[in-house]
Amino acid sequence: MENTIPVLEIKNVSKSFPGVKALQNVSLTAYKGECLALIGENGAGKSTLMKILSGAYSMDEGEIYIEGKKVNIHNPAEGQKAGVGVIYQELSLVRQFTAVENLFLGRWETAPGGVVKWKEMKKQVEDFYKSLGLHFNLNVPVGRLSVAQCQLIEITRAVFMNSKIIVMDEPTSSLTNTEVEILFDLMKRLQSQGITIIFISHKLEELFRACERVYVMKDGCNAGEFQLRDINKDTLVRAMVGRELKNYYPRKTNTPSDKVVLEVKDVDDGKMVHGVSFQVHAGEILGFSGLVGAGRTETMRAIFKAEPKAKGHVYIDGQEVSIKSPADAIRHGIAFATEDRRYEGLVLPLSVAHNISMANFDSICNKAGFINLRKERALAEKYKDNFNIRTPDVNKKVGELSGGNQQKVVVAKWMNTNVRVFIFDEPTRGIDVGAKAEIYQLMVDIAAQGNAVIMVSSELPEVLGVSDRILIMREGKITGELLAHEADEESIISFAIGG
Amino acid sequence: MEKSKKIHLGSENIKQLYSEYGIVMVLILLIIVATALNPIFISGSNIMNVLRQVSINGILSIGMTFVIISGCIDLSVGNVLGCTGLIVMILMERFGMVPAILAGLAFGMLVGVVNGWGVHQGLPAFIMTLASQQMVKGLGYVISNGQPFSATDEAYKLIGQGFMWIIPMPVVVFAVLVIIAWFVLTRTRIGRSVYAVGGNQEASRLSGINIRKIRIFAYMVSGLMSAVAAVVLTSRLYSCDPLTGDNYQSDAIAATVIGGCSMAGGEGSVLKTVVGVLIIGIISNILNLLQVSSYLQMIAKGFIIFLAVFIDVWKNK
Ligand SMILES: Nc1ncnc2c1ncn2[C@@H]1O[C@H](COP(=O)(O)OP(=O)(O)OP(=O)(O)O)[C@@H](O)[C@H]1O
Ligand SMILES: [Mg+2]
Repeated sequence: MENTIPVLEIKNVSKSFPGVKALQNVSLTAYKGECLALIGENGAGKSTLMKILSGAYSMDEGEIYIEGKKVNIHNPAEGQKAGVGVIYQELSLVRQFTAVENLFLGRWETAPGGVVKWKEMKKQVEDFYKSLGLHFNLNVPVGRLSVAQCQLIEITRAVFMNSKIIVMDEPTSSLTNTEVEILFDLMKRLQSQGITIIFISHKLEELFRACERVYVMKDGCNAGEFQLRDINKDTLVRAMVGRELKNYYPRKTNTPSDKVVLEVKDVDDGKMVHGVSFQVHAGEILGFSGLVGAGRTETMRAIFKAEPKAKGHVYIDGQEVSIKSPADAIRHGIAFATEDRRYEGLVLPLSVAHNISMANFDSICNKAGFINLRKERALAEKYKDNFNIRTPDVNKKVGELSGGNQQKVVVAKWMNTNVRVFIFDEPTRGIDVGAKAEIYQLMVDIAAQGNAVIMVSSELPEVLGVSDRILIMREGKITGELLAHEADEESIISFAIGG
Repeated sequence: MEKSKKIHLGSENIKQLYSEYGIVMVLILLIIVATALNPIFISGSNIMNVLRQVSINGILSIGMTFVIISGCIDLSVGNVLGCTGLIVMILMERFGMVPAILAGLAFGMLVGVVNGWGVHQGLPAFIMTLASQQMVKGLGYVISNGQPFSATDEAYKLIGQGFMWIIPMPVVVFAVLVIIAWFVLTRTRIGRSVYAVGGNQEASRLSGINIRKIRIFAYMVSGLMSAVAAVVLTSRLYSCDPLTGDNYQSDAIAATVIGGCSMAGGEGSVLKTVVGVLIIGIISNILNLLQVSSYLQMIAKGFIIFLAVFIDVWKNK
């Protein structure tokens, strides 16, 4: 590969938002056919830089050169024309459209007379996916597919746009290992075609596999550039967080007892979940593993009654409880941090403080239902400090926070309820290493207080590192149970794919 | 710390500034222009006049603000006003003033409950309230037989024509309702829930908020405000006919959107809506003082609505 022609040069780019200097004199160079990693803590400015490159944001100062020519990109359409394709961190598919419609969005092929050639387009997509070993239902709106499937569709869309530079903003955050492999294959293939990839991820192990060079950002500035073969993970972490991070996984101070806190029997949603029963004990962290589409999220949604038609029996501390709506579930002490924070977790136009208080108005209201704003603010400040949420002000709209900080707000919201059983669905999606460690610590703390914690996760190392016991699901049923100390990746996978 | 003391007025920052203070600046500018065009504008009596004129639209806009923040729209308010007015006039003759007014308010709330229920069932808000608009309008014709009705109690005049010190009663009613609405929206759990549901219904539901209750509440407030506006207006006119209030929804929507409520829901403030109400009122007043024909005024108003929504869309980009 000729690593000499800079395809992309970003020079001294700065950008401010009201109250935040998101970028200060950031520079970056990328060469043809390479896979360049870009890392940094939550809020370091990675996404902002990429949005400037794609034209979604305008920069205050700085210059961008593509193939040696200075470019002025004012909007995403111009960015696409200049050869920049971006896969955003937050999904940007049209949920009501099918995969085919989304892939060709805005570039539908038409026969003379303006008739869209759906058949041909669908054929192209089918062939393309077959060659990648992907199987999707191409006939339903993508909104009905899983988050992981959406993410893969999103990724393949940039390929379809014939981009010279493809930016992937945390593409693997909701993929399982199998899909990550598919993605890496795809990336290798793109690189061999001379396409440059800029890869943003908080999963540092991945970088060493997929990339050659890495740029580190910290607080909106350049904080180092490394050849990945020269360094190890600890060096990267130090550059990122500015200090040594000793333990990724917390010391397990919780001790599972015999007392059952949550028991569910015969949970069934008629679609993805078939007769699931299990127990969680006081002080226990129960991990749920399995492939995407195994029905883990759906099981949790059924317990929480997010799915109105779901059936099953739920017992808390030995008492059967009747849960008819999420409100009932919350009242009985179940907290559910969902996997998709933008559609299910947060109210983006509302402030950080308002989001934190919304699942438990009792924490800020008097009996008559009047809100005590001072109390609400103090509450938000408390969580902001405890969880290290990076925002200049708790009155900032939550939609303006970086992805990882949004996730922390979701956790804060549920911590603010009277938790007895805390269900985390992909809790560390898009969170930096430091914050991940904080969230794991939090889970251990919740469990150590005698509560039950459930963690649904597609990341095997975290399932193994944090859980006390692991249940594995496949096709809507529990197919395996392992104690954490006797489990390893192989044993989990063999239950997950079925032997 | 190095500092480059340049202020960047990128479009991002302008948008931010505009959404915070823009609308107040527009209002101030408008007042200056109005005074320059015709110094009568700033006289005490004209200002009271403007305030009294805007109070009906103002009351409707309060209700509209609740509905738009909740992410919906209410096209029925104008005709609910008309029909409520007729109900009050007709009942007053037989049962006296107070029962008639109470019945009118109850009717307004009832229409709101039906609207909210329908929208919660999944009907698009636009269609649901268009349907109820038609039904209510028809009902007005049925009960009145198409005839105007006059009020029958001199005391009734007080609400629309009376004064409190030097302030006209409609303005007093409007101001009191604004304060209550502001309090409900910013300081009560149900008000906060209205924002949450408008901003993200699914996240709100999963946070334990009762969506149906909030939808019905928002529309009920809107219906109630229409009924209050009906009482104030018919008291001033001392009569009501089936065409009273027709098309009032467009001014109410315009004021709300000019005031910065996002049509996407989850954003807005009743105080800013008041600014929107004043802007519309002042523009009408200037055009009147300049003796612009009412046809041209229609065009001007339509254009302002377009402009307001356009800015809303641009701001949210
Ligand atoms: N539209 C916006 N309005 C205001 N502030 C913003 C906006 N977008 C980003 N910011 C701020 O800019 C900073 C950088 O955010 P950015 O999203 O680029 O971080 P990031 O490095 O991608 O983090 P993460 O790993 O969490 O995705 C943050 O402080 C964020 O709050
Ligand atoms: Mg980001």
